[in-house]
Amino acid sequence: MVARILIGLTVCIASHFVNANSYVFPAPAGGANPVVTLHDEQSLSGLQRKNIEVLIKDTYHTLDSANKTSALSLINESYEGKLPAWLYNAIQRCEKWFKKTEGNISCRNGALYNYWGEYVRGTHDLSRREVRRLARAARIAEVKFTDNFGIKFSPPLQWDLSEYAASLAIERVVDYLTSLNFTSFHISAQGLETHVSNEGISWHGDIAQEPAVQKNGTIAYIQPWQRPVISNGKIASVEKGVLSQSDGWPSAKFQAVSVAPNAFDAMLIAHFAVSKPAQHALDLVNTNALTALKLIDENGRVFTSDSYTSHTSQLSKDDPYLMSVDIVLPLFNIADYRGPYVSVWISDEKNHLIKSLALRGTSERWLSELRTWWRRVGRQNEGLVDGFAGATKKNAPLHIEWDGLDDFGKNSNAQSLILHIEVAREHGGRSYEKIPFTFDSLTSPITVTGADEIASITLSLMN
Amino acid sequence: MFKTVSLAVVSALCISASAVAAPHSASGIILTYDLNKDESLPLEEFVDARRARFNASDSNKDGVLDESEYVYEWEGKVEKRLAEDRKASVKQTHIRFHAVDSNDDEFITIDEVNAVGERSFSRMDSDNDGVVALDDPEPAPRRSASQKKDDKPELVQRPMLRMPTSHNIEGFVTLYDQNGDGKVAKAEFHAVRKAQFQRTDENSDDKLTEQEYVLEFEDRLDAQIEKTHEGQIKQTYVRFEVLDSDENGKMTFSEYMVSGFNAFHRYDTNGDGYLTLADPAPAPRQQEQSDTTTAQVSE
Repeated sequence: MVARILIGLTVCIASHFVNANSYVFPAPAGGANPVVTLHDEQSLSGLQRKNIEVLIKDTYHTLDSANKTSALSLINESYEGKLPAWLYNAIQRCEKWFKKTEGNISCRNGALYNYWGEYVRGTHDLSRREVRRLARAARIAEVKFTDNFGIKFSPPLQWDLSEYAASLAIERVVDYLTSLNFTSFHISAQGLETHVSNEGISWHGDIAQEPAVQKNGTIAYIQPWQRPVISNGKIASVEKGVLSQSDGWPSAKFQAVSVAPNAFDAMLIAHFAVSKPAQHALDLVNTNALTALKLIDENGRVFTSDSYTSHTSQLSKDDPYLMSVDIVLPLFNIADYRGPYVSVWISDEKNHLIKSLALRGTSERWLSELRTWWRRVGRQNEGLVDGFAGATKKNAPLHIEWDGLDDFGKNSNAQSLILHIEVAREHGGRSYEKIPFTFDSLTSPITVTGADEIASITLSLMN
Repeated sequence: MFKTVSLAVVSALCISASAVAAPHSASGIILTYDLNKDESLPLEEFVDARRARFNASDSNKDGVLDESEYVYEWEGKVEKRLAEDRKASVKQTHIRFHAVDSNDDEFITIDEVNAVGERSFSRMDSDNDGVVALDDPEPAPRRSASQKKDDKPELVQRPMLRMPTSHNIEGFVTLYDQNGDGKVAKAEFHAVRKAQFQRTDENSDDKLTEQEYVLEFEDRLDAQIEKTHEGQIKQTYVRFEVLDSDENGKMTFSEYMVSGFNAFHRYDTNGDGYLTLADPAPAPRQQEQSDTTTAQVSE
């Protein structure tokens, strides 16, 4: 049954839609009901509402692994067959992410989810080695896409996209509404906000207790701490988080808020980001200007990708609180050259940490050689090293964008700030530079030439 | 300036357990019972802390511990420590990946594995005859990365989770001797490591990613955890029987304290009634080297 709500004043889910019509659809697997909101006095006919309801239901039904006659179950049983076009495309897209992330974004782990389901129902104990084995077997299986939406794959691979059912349903509804020439609408579902507007209308709402502004695309969010890794409505695991696709074990490193042009990609990225070290996920989204990510650890510390702020806030081009830091590291022509450990952070005038911007290198033994950073920041913030440190990357230059928010997402109020850069290299030297600045003083870029392990540092406003 | 830490600490394909600082011999007891954290454990504090632990284990509050109460309490400690050790060990494996990846390209190749292998083989082959045999001399002890310069002992809990080590002759031969002749030729050594490299390389592209490297190690780590857990629990049942000297299935506090006092006096080598970092290590027990699953009674 589709409920229709006519709203003159508009509700909070679309506060910028004037005279918007909202329609609530049943959620086939429980959870929040999908809500479609149309802009500009547009409305859905009874038949159109029925079609949307059918599209949502069909998506869940097609992906239902508990139902032996669902389209995906039939394919999984014979390891080949034809798929509906939307599902064929989804699996192809998932496989592209799979290759890009060494299997850490994957739709191949049906056997793993089955095993977890059996464990939750009490069929067997849980073995960490067994789940790792299942994930590995799925990872090395062969997959071939054939003509006319056909697919062929080797056992024991079993496709499973049930975690992404809501996002795929939304994509189908978006395509349907677009085909009917609806040009501005918003769809909310469990953990997803999808916005489409040809007229430049943005959506204003709350994501993870923070106000957010959205242009075209989807924001997906997962709060993993209380989320059972497996739940089917009736039973749920006591284990919390999401299953890591690489080792089959629950992981809940971060709350993730991801931005992507479409709902499926946004949800795939959010799942990945919950279970992986921050730098892996941030590096992944930074390769594409259309994707962005915000991670929040259990202590409330926030890490954002380069373009997150520009995707989710109303910053105008003249807004001063967005700057970039570019650091060039020298290349040493020596045998066994190893990339240096690097920390970049911002403090107030009293050297109190405001924001950690970059941390290259994961060994605490070597990180402690970044002596200034270690003394003032690192040794008191174990979670920071675990969550934020990434690999050393030879002398690859650092490009960092900062939105003026501190480690906990609060505005640093553009006070007098100090940028600190410290670099130390195994069998090499150690260099440290600090640059006092205010946002107001950055009307023209500041460039500082370093010595030894730092070639140059440039600070500039981004506009 | 970075100090040079021998890469030999790092055994490619991570056959060895991670290096730890030299713990003071009584570390476990002091860390467990020195509730005021002053690094000194007088006998009275020890008795009080043992009493508190005894009472906490006595879940039905009948003043004695039955077998299940005793084992349950220890099992909780075992699981907590194994989980902590596991976390530290996995973290160390990520670091080891980068140490073996000497050209820093995010992959380990067989050449990089062999380079590390050459160093560990020559370290073990101290008589330079190209073969490591059971009757070869042990290699000189080496400084671990975290060991202090002045060799002052530290209060460090010994890991409960210990992987088979290749850092002594016996462990090395056990791991690499394929034909059972009690010695390891260099070709044999490299063959074992190459086979392990290939097992780890899941997509067979002749290079190991960090993920491949860590997942392979975690498999062995989890196997060792299962083995250690089982051994610990088995040993706890045995210990209950030994300590329950009147064999009535109920351990009184004084029976409980027999093992406690034995351990206290064993480590209070200067006999002043305090366990401190100043007590010299006691003479090693015969079986202590090889027996990795026996719980220390008073940990």
